[in-house]
Amino acid sequence: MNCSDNAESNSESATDRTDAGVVLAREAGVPFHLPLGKASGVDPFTEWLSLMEVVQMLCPEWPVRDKPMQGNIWRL
Amino acid sequence: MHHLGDPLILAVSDSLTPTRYDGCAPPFHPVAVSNLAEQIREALSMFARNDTAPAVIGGLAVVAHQVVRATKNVDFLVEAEAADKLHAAILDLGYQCLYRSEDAANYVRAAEGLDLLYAHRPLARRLLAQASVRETPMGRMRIISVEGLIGFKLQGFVNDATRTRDLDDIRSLLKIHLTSLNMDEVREYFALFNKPDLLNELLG
Repeated sequence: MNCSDNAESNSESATDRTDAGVVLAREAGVPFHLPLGKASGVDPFTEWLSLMEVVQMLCPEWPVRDKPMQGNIWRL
Repeated sequence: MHHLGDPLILAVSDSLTPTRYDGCAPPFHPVAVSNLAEQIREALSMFARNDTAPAVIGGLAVVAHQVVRATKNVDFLVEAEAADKLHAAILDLGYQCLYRSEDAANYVRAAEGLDLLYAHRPLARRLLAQASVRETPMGRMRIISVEGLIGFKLQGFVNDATRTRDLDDIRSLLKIHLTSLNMDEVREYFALFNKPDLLNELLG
C-alpha cells in the first residue's frame, strides 16, 4: 500500500505517536489520532477523503440505509 | 492488539496524499470519493440557497474533531423552522424521503444518504447557534462542538442500542479531547438520557 521510498521511517514515526494497545489498520502500520491543533497542518477532512478513496476501492457497494432512524427518545 | 470495546480508530496517513506518490501511480481511482465530496458540496449549496445555516453532526463531525474513520453518513442539524423548505429542496435534488418526523428525516438517493436532525428544543438550538465555522475541502461548514456531538451520539445510541459505533465514537472523542472538554456539559447529556454510569464506563 505504501508507495513512498521511506516506509520504514514512516512506520517508526507512526509508532512513536500512538498507544501500544490499538489495532493495526494503516498501511500495515499503526493507527493514530490526528494531532490536535492547527499547528499540525493536518486537515482531518483531507485525511478522511484519502481514507474514503481506499475504503470505496475495497468496498464499492457501500450499504445503503434501508430503514429509518430507530427510537423515540429525542431530548436534545 | 485491539480489544473489544477499545476505540478502533481507522488511521489515515499522509502517505495517502498525492505528494507521497513520487515515482508511483496512486493505487485507486478518485471518482467515487469525488462523488462523496460533491454530494456534500451540493448539500451545502442547497442549504445556502435556502438561507439556512446547518451544523455538521454524525460521522463527519467526528472526523472534524480529529477522529478520522470511514463514514459516508452525511448528517446535519438544522433549525426546525426550515424543515419544510429543506424537505422540498432535498426532494428537488433527487433524494427520496425514507422517514420524516418532527425530530429527524432520512433521505436516500441511489447509494447516497442524507440525514437531518431538527433543532427545536433549547439544547439543540443552542448547540446549533454555537457551532464553529471551518473551511474544508468541501467548502465552509459549521461544526457542532465536541460536547454536543457526544450528546447527539448518546441520543443515537439510546434510541438504537445496535449503534455501537456511537459508543466507539464517544469513547474516542472523550479520549483525545479529555483535557479540553467541558465535562459538566458532557455529564448533563448523560444525565439527560439517564446514563450517568455509562459515562464512567466510557471514561474507564
